[in-house]
Amino acid sequence: MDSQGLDKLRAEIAGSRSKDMPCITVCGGTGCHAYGCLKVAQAFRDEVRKRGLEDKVSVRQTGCHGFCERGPIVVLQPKGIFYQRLQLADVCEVVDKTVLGDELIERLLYSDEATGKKIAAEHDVPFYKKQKRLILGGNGFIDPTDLADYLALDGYKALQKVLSGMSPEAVIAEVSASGLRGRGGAGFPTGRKWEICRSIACGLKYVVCNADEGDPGAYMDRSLLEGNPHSVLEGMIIGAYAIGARSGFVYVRNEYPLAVENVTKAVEACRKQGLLGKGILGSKLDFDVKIFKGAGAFVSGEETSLMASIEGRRASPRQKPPFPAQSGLWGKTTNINNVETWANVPWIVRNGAPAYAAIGTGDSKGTKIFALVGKINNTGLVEVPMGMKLREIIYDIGGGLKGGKKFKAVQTGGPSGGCIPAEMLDLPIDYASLAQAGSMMGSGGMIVMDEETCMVDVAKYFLHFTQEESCGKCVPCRIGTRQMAEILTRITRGEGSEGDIEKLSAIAKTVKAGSLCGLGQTAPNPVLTTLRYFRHEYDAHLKEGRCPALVCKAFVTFGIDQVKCIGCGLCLKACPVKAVTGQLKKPHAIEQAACIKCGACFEVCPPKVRAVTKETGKTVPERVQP
Amino acid sequence: MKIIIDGRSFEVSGEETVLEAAKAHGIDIPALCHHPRLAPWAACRLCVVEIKGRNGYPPSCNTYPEEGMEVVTDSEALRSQRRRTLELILSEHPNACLVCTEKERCDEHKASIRKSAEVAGCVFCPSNRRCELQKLVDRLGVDSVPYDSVYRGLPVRRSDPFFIQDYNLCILCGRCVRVCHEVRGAAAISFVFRGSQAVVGTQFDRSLIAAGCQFCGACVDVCPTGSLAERLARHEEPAEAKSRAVCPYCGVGCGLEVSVLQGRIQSAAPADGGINRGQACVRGRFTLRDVVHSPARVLKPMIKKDGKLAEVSWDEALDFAARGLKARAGKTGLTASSQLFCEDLFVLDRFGREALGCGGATPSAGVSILDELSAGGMTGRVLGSLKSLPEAGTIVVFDEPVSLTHPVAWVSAFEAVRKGAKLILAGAASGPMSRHASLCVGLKPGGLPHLIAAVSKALLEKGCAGAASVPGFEAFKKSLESACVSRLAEAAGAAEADVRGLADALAGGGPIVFLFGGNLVGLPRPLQGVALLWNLAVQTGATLLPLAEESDTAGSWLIRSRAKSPAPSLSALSESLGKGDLKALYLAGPMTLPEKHGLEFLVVQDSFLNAACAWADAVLPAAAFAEAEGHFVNLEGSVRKSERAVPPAGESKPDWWIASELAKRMGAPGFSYENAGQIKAQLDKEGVLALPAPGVSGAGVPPPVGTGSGLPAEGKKAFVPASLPAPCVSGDSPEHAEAPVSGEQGSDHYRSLSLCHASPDLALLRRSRRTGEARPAAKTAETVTAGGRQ
Ligand SMILES: Cc1cc2nc3c(=O)[nH]c(=O)nc-3n(C[C@H](O)[C@H](O)[C@H](O)COP(=O)(O)O)c2cc1C
Ligand code: SF4
Ligand code: SF4
Ligand code: SF4
Ligand code: FES
Repeated sequence: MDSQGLDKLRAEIAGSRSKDMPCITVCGGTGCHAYGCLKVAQAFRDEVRKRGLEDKVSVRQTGCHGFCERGPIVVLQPKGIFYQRLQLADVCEVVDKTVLGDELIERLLYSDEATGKKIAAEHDVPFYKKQKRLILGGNGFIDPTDLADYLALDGYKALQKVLSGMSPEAVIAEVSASGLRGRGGAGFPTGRKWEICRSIACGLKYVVCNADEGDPGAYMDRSLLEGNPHSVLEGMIIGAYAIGARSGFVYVRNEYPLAVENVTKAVEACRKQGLLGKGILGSKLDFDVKIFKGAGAFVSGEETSLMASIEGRRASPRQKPPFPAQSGLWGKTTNINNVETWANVPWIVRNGAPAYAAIGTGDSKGTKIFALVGKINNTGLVEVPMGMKLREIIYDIGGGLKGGKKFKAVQTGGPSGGCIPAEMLDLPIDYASLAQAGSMMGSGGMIVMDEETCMVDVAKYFLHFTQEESCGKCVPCRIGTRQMAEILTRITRGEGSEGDIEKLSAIAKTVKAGSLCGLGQTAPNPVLTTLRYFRHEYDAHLKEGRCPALVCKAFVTFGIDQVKCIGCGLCLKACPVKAVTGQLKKPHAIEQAACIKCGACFEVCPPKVRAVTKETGKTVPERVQP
Repeated sequence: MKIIIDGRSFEVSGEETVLEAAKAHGIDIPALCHHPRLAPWAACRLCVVEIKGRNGYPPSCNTYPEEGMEVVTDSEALRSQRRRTLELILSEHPNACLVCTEKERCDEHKASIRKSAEVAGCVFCPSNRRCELQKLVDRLGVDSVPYDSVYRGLPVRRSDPFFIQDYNLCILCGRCVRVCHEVRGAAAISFVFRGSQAVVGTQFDRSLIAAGCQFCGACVDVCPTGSLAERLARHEEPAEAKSRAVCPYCGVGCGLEVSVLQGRIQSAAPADGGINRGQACVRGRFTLRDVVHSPARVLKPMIKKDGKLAEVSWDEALDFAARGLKARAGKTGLTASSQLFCEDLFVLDRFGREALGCGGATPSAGVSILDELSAGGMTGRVLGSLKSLPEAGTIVVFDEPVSLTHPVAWVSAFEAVRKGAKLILAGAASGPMSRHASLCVGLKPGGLPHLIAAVSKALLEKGCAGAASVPGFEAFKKSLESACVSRLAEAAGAAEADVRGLADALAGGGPIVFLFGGNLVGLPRPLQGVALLWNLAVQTGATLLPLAEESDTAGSWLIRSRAKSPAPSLSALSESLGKGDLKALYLAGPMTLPEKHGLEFLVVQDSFLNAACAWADAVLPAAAFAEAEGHFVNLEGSVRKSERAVPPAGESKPDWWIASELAKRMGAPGFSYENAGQIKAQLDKEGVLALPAPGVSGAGVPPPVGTGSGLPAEGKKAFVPASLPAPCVSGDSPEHAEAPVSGEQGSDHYRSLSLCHASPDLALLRRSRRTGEARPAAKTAETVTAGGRQ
């Protein structure tokens, strides 16, 4: 099909869809899948059919809406009514009252934590209100398996624009002018990367979409590929045109079955419509995409490692230079971009670089999607303009900390990012500020931690992760992360010794300076930032025998307040090692030597009584082996 | 281009890394994972340097110079970074001895405590005093390991032959894995697991034998630590002396560095540089010690007394033998092994002609490729060299399991494959070959001549007439006129599409090399096959690289062809046995004798007791190759000197000495040689080794001595008459079922000793591979995508 054909098709789609026709959109993201959205969507379809409303009401299973915490999410268009935690049993009522009638169902609406007010429209929900969903927005409207939905939202218009008269250089200039930087971690200017690839004379060039997404807790790439695969493909086709590639790969981990399925379907649909293959849209552009399923290791996301994997070798990074542009897949010029980076491209081309560059800060343009997780009320995917303050994300969008606890730190940039303390809540989120704070943008993980989080324990967790996920090739990373993880483990076990902090900093420095790839070069960040901002917690562990957050078991003691205890015996029953003694109605006690610090007693003690105490800094008698 | 290293300005090519460039100018940057034969790996991070304008510490082993680049290789920051990195390495390596303050004086105090199951420190380690880690610890001045030490506690792997793998000592430099993949093409080992669990291992943790290891020992030789240790030498002290020998087995003639301890061979490792460039094969690497010091060695001269062999003095034995032989002069046959030095063969050949009156020494290996080529008048073409093999664009292997029979030739072929050459196999293959082939053409036993003819015909049908102006073309074309590609293909046992695929590849150009060897000349009509192949080479412009079976096949041919009348062939000699004319036989090369050989007098001159000794009237103990000095001429015509490493076992004497002594006693003049050097001088004077090998024109061109620097280029080329094989229909009994007389294939033997007999480990390896390896399943399509392998 050529460009006019596509315009016609788009017009047909628009014609067949009335703007006012009610549409029930059911979120089909992976989060909502877990809540049973498939059944909900089917129930809506059945209900609509049962009532013979097929021509009047449509039901659409869309991609992830981002607010996964509240799934299954149903949005009733065109009014944009936002129902959350909707159950199968609600389906009939929703159709009756809200779709056919005008009545809202209070219990399904989102209620504002702060005011307790019910909110009807999606865009009024605080979680969405401050977001700017340029890239993620489509997810809420599109059935990812239906090309028509994407076309209806101006899909592939950017490609048409490019092919109808923009030179490759002009495309690159546009992307450069937009200020777009790579969203995969390093933040390299995308236009610059394309320009380098374009400038290298190489008969065969490749473009690659990096959808490995190995950061624990991050899932924005997954949601994009699952929810709006065509936006990524459109970006790739434009990129291929710009650099002169004829072949592309989407490297997606096999643990993302829905992403694999949807992007595979999208590729097939494109081939059918002449959007991929020979002579795309009647132009001279030949380009096709292969889906490569990776086995899913964190390090496979590193670009040279990813290429080794595509070539059929062990996913192990190699020294750069040469960069992929100089010697990529099978030695050919290769341009690798992250899923989100690619998805930004059509927007930039459609709306122009100035519009894009108007969003964000000096060196960080556009929006960025974050996976907001941890001890926060509203977890989910948020897309915000660059430069937004951490505080806004955490409190306005994220709704503050769970249970009203005190904020302690936020970890950005994935396992090799850093922990940013409360004092820095007004830090604007952009590449430079994060780097300056000792962290990084990374792929956009954002883990919120409250006062009950021990920062030494956090550093230990991340170092264990990088130690396991290191490819094991280079010495500093392979052995250095292990040594750091071991020292941290010792500290959290109360076995730390003098000089540990100096050792930690020395290894961290060696690993950062000496490692081969980004994994090792950034792996010490959690240690370095916690040492920088939370040194007192290390000192508490090492010198005072305390874990201020009451997390590290070695430093925690449980006791029973003899005055408060009512002798209900709940704790006695709950204790797995029979460390609790006492008679009914009489104050109980804990045999410290037998206690394994599981905290079961603490959990079961009735809230009104609260006789079980949890403390740190007390000397604990040696535990006797049962 | 110019670069500045440590303030000094150097002119560099830009093709070598900063590390190599610095080294070339005397600046030695510490390195562990770097190895000159392997692609940069950049994993140990010890070679880090500072480069102006670049962040951090780039590894010099993987950084290429750029114009004006300013490199600092030594600074306090670098020293500390390197030291810390080495400390990290040591934290996972038994380090007690490495940082021991008394280590200098350790040898004084310790008795032999090397025999320990687990290596807890250098003094228990097979690599002690040979280890690169030890050197670096000293060099970087590391005297403590500030981190918790980790002993991986992996089981030491002892079940495989030849070497033991103790990955508790491994520093994961990856050299072994890389040499196995990049140089040997075997890919038997790889990295398994990730992160701190990463370790070198095999697929599914199988034994090396099961994983397809060739036991070439390349990994052992590149390992900087004691992780991989040769079993036999494991608990021994470092060698007292080393000498340079040439491997006596196959026609490649690898240079070997033989380590000697207390007058015995301790081990042999491939010499750097030279023909084999640091590579060898399982035979040369691991069996020399067992062979030279085999219990089967004959240690004293023996003669038959009262029907039994009895040990006597040399004088008695020589007198006895001389008498017996003299009495049967003119009715005596002589065989000589082509694993003897040129010096020995020359004297033996003269001894045969001048004392025994038998027309020279018959090579005991039976049919030799060079004999066939010269018999067919196939001269005027370039014979390939191992050195040029890596430059080939297309390599066709005609029914020869090269990686098994000539593993080091395979290394050169594989180098070409890694550079993008096409590898095509017709018939037999072994181990790694089929994995790297782009086309495997099936073949029935005896089908090779049909296949070659089919390819020639297919090329003619394609109209590839590049050879039309070559003399003999018309006759060649005519000889193929009636041939039919599909019938020939069927007779060969090959798919017609494959035959045409092979023809297409040959028409495609690029320097083409044909490899062939014992399986072609082992056919009942070797001349036919060789001639057909010759013509195909002329037709396509290919270079022939005949894989001579034995270390001195070429030397033997050169020596014999200096005389006008040839010695009888081995089969002719065999046939005359028992017919009455042949009264005595002198075996300086192994020969299987029939029960009714009808000989009156038999002398065996060998290093080993063998079956023929049962009938022998005299057995004369010969020194093994490492016990004497001499020269071999290898398959590409290089004359290579082998040094003496150890004294002769028992009373054994060099072969040339024995033959000369006998000749003298039999009254032949001109045998008063005092040492091998005199013989070599005579060979040089007479220009014996300077004769062009068959197929090489330009007599008078000096031979490439010792270097393998290649043979004279282009000469006259012409098609030779070649009869077409009769298309045999399926069901015909395979033609080469009649075994060649020598019975041996490849060179798993030294003189009369079977290597498997000498080395139980080799026997184990060969037994495990006997099934299934010879013929790969046909790989019909081009299954390997462009560049799709490492
Ligand atoms: C250990 C490691 C893991 C990485 N994982 C990913 C990943 O999962 N997804 C991704 O897009 N980039 C990842 N990267 C970054 C890539 O190497 C590469 O920089 C990126 O794909 C380039 O795309 P961009 O310019 O669009 O960001 C990783 C880097 C490192 C060092
Ligand atoms: S830094 Fe870590 S992940 Fe990267 S190459 Fe080194 S060992 Fe592998
Ligand atoms: S002996 Fe040779 S084939 Fe075997 S693992 Fe070592 S390098 Fe590979
Ligand atoms: S076994 Fe030896 S060569 Fe192989 S990785 Fe370990 S230390 Fe290096
Ligand atoms: S020698 Fe350069 S990193 Fe090992």
